[in-house]
Amino acid sequence: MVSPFALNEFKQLSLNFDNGVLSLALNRPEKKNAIGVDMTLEIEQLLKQVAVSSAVKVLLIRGMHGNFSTGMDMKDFFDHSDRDPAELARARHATNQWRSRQLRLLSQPIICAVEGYCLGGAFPILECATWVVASDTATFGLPEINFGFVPGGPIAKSVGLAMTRRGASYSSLSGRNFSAHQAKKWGLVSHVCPSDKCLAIAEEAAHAVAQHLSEQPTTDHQKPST
Amino acid sequence: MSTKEIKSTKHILVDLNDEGILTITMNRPQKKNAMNVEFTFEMQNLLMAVAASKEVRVVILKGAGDGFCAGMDIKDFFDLSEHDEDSLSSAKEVANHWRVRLLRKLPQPTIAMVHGFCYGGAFAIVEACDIAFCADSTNFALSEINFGHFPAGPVAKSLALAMHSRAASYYSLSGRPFNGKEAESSGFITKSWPDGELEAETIKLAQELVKKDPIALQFTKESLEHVKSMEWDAALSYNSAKFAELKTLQKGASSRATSVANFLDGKFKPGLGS
Repeated sequence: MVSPFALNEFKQLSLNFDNGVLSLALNRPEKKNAIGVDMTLEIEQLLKQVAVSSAVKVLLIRGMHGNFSTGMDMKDFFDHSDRDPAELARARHATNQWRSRQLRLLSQPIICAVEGYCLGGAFPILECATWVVASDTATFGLPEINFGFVPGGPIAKSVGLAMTRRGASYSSLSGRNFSAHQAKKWGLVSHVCPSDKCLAIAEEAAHAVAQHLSEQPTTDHQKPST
Repeated sequence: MSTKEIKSTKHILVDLNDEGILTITMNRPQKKNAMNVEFTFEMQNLLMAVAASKEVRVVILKGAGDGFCAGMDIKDFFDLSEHDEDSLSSAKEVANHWRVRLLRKLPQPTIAMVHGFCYGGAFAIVEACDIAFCADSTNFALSEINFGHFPAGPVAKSLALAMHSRAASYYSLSGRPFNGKEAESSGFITKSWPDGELEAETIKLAQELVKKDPIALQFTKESLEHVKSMEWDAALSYNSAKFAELKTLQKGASSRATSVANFLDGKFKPGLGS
């Protein structure tokens, strides 16, 4: 199938389009896929295109090289950034845009495959997903408090929507990491699997859903807005 | 109100250690630590002092003797031979106020350390704490229904906030008791520990928490509490404001000191638009 858009214009997102499934892999291995200014702008750009693509039936989100994402790249975004203030403002806007609006309004189902680290700013991605499969060796956490910071408003809101109250308070106040099994008990993850099966299970599910949706008459299968 | 107001009273023991860990012990063991009128007023005063104290960094709340707390001492709240009518009606208000507001809104993180038993009105205490640890053998029960009553005051709301709805309905309608592990899987308890490990694990966590930035801890609590009811755009706006406030407060001491020094040097004139 011909790709609906130029997949190689993205530097920190590794994209693959196959039979209605757009696989979006966060790809910045030297920073364990932390989301910095460049990546956040790319995510916003990509999701803008996904939202209006009838070819993309399912969006699969994962990380390259064994980690999902360590969250926002604080150094690139905040105090010690050497970026131009206008560029930082644009990046903050893009971040708000994709995690508070775009991901939520996509009509396509989102499936996440979580391997390795999944921290802080990556939680809203899981919260927006229809189904989250995690490797049993994945590590979750809200480490913000460990450097005198807080899980900001949108992250706190995502955490409050996806996680149980006890899980949300404990992980955000203690800053302690937690396992995939605990993440499932606390509502963040749908399914835990052996680490070597994680991507395959997510891909299989994504293709099954895409296949099913391709057989439906083309109607607006938009999710109810929340 | 200040740290010096934090002291043990007739029904409540307090211990504030050098690290800033305040242990509050409900101390009426002959009555299973049931909350009576006097206890209620003592707790109100104590929590107001704790909220104002910079020295308290973490609060642990527990029960003396065999268990955590058996709920309200209902008889005492209607005993006109012991109390006058006005203080009884005030006590009823305060019994709600400290659980629903004072405890929940403390700026410090709170850990309920639950052992032995936890009944009825005590559920609202545990729920209001940020983190709830218990011992595996703890006996939990919402037995109101067995006496032709129902989970009253703040309890029903507490159950709805912290428990899965199936568990809340089941335990409050059946009145059946449940243990620590069941309390954990119901969502009500953060983690249930083997009996011998509860205290050590609670202290270990408290010692970790006192090392964290107190303002960031307070803001984390506030964010979780408030953004739930906000629309996304309001949450973003709240976030920007909180972020700026955090930076200002964390700079607090030194920037205030600098301002004062500048004022003394004549470089800064407060209120004069400089």
